[in-house]
Amino acid sequence: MDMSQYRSLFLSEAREYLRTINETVVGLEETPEDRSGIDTLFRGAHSLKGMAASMEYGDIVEVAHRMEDLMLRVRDMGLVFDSGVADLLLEGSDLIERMMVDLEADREPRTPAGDLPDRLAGYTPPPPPPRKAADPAPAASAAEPAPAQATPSAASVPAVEPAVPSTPPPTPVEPERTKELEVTSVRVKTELLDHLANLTGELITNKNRLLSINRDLASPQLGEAVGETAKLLRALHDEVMKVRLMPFEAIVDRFQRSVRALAKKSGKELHFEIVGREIGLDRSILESLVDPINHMLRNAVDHGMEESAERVAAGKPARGVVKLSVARDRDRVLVTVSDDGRGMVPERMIASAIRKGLISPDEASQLSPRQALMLSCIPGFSTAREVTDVSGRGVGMDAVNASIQKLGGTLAIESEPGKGTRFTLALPMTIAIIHALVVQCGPIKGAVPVTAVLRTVELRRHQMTRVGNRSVFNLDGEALPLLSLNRALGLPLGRFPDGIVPLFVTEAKGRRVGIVVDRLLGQHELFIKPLGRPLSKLPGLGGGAVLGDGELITLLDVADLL
Amino acid sequence: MATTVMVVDDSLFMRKMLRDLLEEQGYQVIAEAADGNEAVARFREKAPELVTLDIVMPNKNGLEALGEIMALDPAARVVMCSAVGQESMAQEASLAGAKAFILKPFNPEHVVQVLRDVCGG
Amino acid sequence: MEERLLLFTVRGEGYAFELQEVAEVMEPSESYPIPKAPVHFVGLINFHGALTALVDLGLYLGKGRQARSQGKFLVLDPRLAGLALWVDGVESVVPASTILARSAGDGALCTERLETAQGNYRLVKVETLLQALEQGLAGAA
Repeated sequence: MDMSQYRSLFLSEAREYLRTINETVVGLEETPEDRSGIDTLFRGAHSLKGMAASMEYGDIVEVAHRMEDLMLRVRDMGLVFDSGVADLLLEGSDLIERMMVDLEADREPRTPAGDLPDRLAGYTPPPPPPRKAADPAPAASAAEPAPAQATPSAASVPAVEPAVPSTPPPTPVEPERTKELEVTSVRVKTELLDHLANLTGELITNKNRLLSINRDLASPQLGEAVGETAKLLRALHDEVMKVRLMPFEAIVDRFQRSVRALAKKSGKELHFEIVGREIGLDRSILESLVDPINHMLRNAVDHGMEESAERVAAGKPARGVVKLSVARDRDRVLVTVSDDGRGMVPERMIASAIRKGLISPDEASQLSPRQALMLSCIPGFSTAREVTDVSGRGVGMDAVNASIQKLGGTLAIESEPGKGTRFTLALPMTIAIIHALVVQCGPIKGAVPVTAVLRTVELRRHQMTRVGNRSVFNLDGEALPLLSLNRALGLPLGRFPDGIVPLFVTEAKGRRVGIVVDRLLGQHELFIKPLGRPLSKLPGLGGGAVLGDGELITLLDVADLL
Repeated sequence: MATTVMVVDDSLFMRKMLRDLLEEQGYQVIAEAADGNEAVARFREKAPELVTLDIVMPNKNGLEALGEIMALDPAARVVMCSAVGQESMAQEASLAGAKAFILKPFNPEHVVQVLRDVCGG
Repeated sequence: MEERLLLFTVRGEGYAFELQEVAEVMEPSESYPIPKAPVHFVGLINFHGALTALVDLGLYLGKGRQARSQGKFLVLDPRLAGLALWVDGVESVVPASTILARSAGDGALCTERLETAQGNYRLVKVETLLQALEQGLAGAA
């Protein structure tokens, strides 16, 4: 029997099992006697073993088999599901994933199983610590398995101190395999989806071209036909984008894993909650969100959250809450990471920025509390011990902010001292076809995603004032610095003979700024194409697009340019 | 007339493989199910002449499903699929009315032989 | 199939690409400026829908600017790059077997010097050229 035809099915289904295993392990640490969770883990390892055996992937069979045996001991032989078991299972799941990556790349396995199978087989729990009288009974142990709950759902992180009994987490949800039995659904390759999205994009470019031609022809019939085509294209675009959406669920297990590890390392007691698992995001955006979200979670656990004793002294529950939630807001997706920790104090942020030489005391006096919080996104604000590498783009919150802006999104920070902090990312639903503000600077036309534009303003000269050597203008009671896009692009500064200065407001390096351009040319629906080599190496550009009249423009990453 | 079959396994991968193998041998796969509950429901609906039934499944395992299927139709021809190391369950299934066993990972020749024996008998 | 070479000239000097690395030779067409790019990046052109950077190869090599609407655009294989090169013109396509002698290049762009019946040509590998251009871009901002 030729098994190679089953390989991709094997890989995708095996990954579903691994994801279920990872999530269930994390859930079980909260309620170690939850029978349905234990069964799920046993079955997951068992199925993986069987599938891998059919494919004759001996290394995977070996690891999955030992995981299954370990779960058998938990299920039938009274072995307690403790953090040692959890660690081994997660390690096994990681190892299998790495083995599958090798398989996928058609190369010899580079990750030997090492001693993991032996450690799985030979696991013995550490001697139990003397039991304290205050120990609570394990939550929801003998209870009926709870029905699978809809979101919001929670998964908790092991506490170092005995935990306060909490509401039981939902039963780990089995991947819904039954759905795939329906003949009304088919599996398609992701390349096909990309291709469909590209074709739709080309059609939109072509529609813009027709519109542009009819500007000269002024034919009512053609105008009507193009209008109708535009409507149909919008519907097609929506449908194609829907197909490309993947639920946020697809990446949450990584966050559960990392928060768990961080809490363990820092010895803090906390509860991690995830809301909005079912919200769909474009695949490419989803992938680029993993690192920024991980960094914000790390911030929340390492810096936002206090030690239990400090919390109790402040009259708060000993166990902190870190929450990751995803929600839709029209054509945007909002991702928030919040904690109920110590919060940030604007005055302290300002003092720290002055000390590090990032702003002058003069500039500091102009900052609103909101602007002060955004100082954390200035490169150089985070010190080395607070930072992690974010997709090779550097370190710290400034890297998070930069990668969000690359996606055409924005980052906002709200915080109340003593109450907690909330980071909100606002992102476009898709990135291939976007609405963009087209601007002119000298000979150059550029596009800025509307998601990165807070508003456009036509300023009169007398509305501008100078602070130190900088021009500023007042927007909603906040003094915003004015920067010239011409200067950022190395072009001569624009002249404004009629005294009206066109600009758009955006967020750059953590602050709201006014970006002055020669002309605002209006909003366009653009199909963004990659620039390829060598231009993809040019900083400040995020791709390009064809306008209706055939003109080519580039997508500007304003934050990168300034 | 081709013998009609229902394939029950919680893994889509396993179902697909077994379905391909059976269809190649001229069987007609008229239903699939991913857990015990579904297996019983589909059996009632489609009345397949032959059932391949996995043991380790969510919601209702293969042994429980076997019991319910045999109660619906004591003449049902059910073949259990089990992995090495589950011999005790296999014995239990045999007592409960299963006609035969096939071992995972599937050996195509062995599967074909077992099914032929069950259908011939 | 035998390797073939595309011979072309830049400000009167002979250069060669492996033919398989070139997608098309185009007449000069309209280009649109690229923000912040070094001067030899003349602009963006539309090559069958793909956004392609146009580089004035003579200018890049320090031999001065190409006169407007003269010369040819050599568009490289889109699978390798989004790059077109503005050159004087294409001379011919020759099988590699017609090369009379090969000698070491200059250690920079030119990987080999080729001697043919028509004269001498510098062989340029697309990958080498791309890396050199990319290096110049990374520091541009």
